[in-house]
Amino acid sequence: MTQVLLFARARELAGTRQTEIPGATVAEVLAQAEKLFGAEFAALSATCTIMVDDAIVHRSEFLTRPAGSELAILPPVSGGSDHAEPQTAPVLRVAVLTVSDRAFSGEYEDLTGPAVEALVAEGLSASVVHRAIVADERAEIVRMLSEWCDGDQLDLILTNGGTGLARRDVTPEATKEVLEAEAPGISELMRAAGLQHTPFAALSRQVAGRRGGTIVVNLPGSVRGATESLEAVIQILPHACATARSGQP
Amino acid sequence: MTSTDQPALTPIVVAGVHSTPLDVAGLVDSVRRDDCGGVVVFEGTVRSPNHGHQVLALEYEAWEDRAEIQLHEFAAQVATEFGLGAALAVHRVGRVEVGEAAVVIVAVAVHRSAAFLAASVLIDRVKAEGWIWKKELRADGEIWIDSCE
Repeated sequence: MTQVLLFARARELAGTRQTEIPGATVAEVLAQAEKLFGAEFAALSATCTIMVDDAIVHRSEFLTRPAGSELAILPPVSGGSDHAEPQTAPVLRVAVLTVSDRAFSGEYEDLTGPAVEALVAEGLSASVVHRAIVADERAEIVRMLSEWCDGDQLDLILTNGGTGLARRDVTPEATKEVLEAEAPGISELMRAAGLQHTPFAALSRQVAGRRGGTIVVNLPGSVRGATESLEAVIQILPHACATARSGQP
Repeated sequence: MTSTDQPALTPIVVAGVHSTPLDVAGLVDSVRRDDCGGVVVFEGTVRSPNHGHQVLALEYEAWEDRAEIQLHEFAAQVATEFGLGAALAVHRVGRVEVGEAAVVIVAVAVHRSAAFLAASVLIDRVKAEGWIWKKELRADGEIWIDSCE
């Protein structure tokens, strides 16, 4: 059960300042609250800023501690006079790196990078600020990842390709070289999602983790593999990025 | 904004959310300092009429522990940004009568220009981002004032 805090007009319409509501995502808790508290509350809720514990969140996010989170429903404040929009979670700065000898040489068109970008646009509050294609060369991949992490201080880098068992597949090694901390849970979740469709997902060696304030996630090279993997973790990425960013200079 | 011939001041930062009438003179005195010659005080008071309605009082509600932290953070940031000697942001909650101060901002600087600018920036930030809401208690009813008003 999530502790839900209500303020001002939201508190009045709900008839309580604090209540417990179940749900795995922010959206589920809000939908339940709207059912409980009625149409007028639902209309107000759409204009509210939502905070979970210390962070302003996107409605699609998972509650990281569904049993112990505090979710605050915050109506617009009186002095925000020029805009009626609720405050939203920060827009993530994302880069997409396609790793493929053949796409790099122009032998075929990169379809996976654009598919990943489309999913980012749909599922995250994010803007893709960099995209690039590199060959399956470890040094090149390391160079791009380091540059984007250190120089541009991106929130998230999604690579695609080079995660299999072919001799030229070196994306996981290059990624591990730049990561300061691995997040094996992210890659396990992606592989688990792939295994529901095909046992061959077990052959993907994708890794994920953090360098500085940037989260790096390897996706497989096929359009289907990449989008399935990303879909499996997309709801936890905003929180991962917020955590990686916290404590950054 | 700190002038080059002055060493950077270590600012005094005062912030709070109070449920009793604000002692404006006392608050200002708490942040005066001899090495600063500009003290800008902004008081936001309860006004009537508002948009043609007679206002009896305002009822302020805050997410109190968060609002106190926010006001402190805003004041500290403005103090650093403008090289202030002191910054103060104190807000009332509960019922505030017409003519009473609902919010007090003080910016104290070596010279007046930084103090004026800083006070203006600080009140804007407090009003736009502080988790504090107000309900207008009118002769003809009550209404929460949000950004649409």
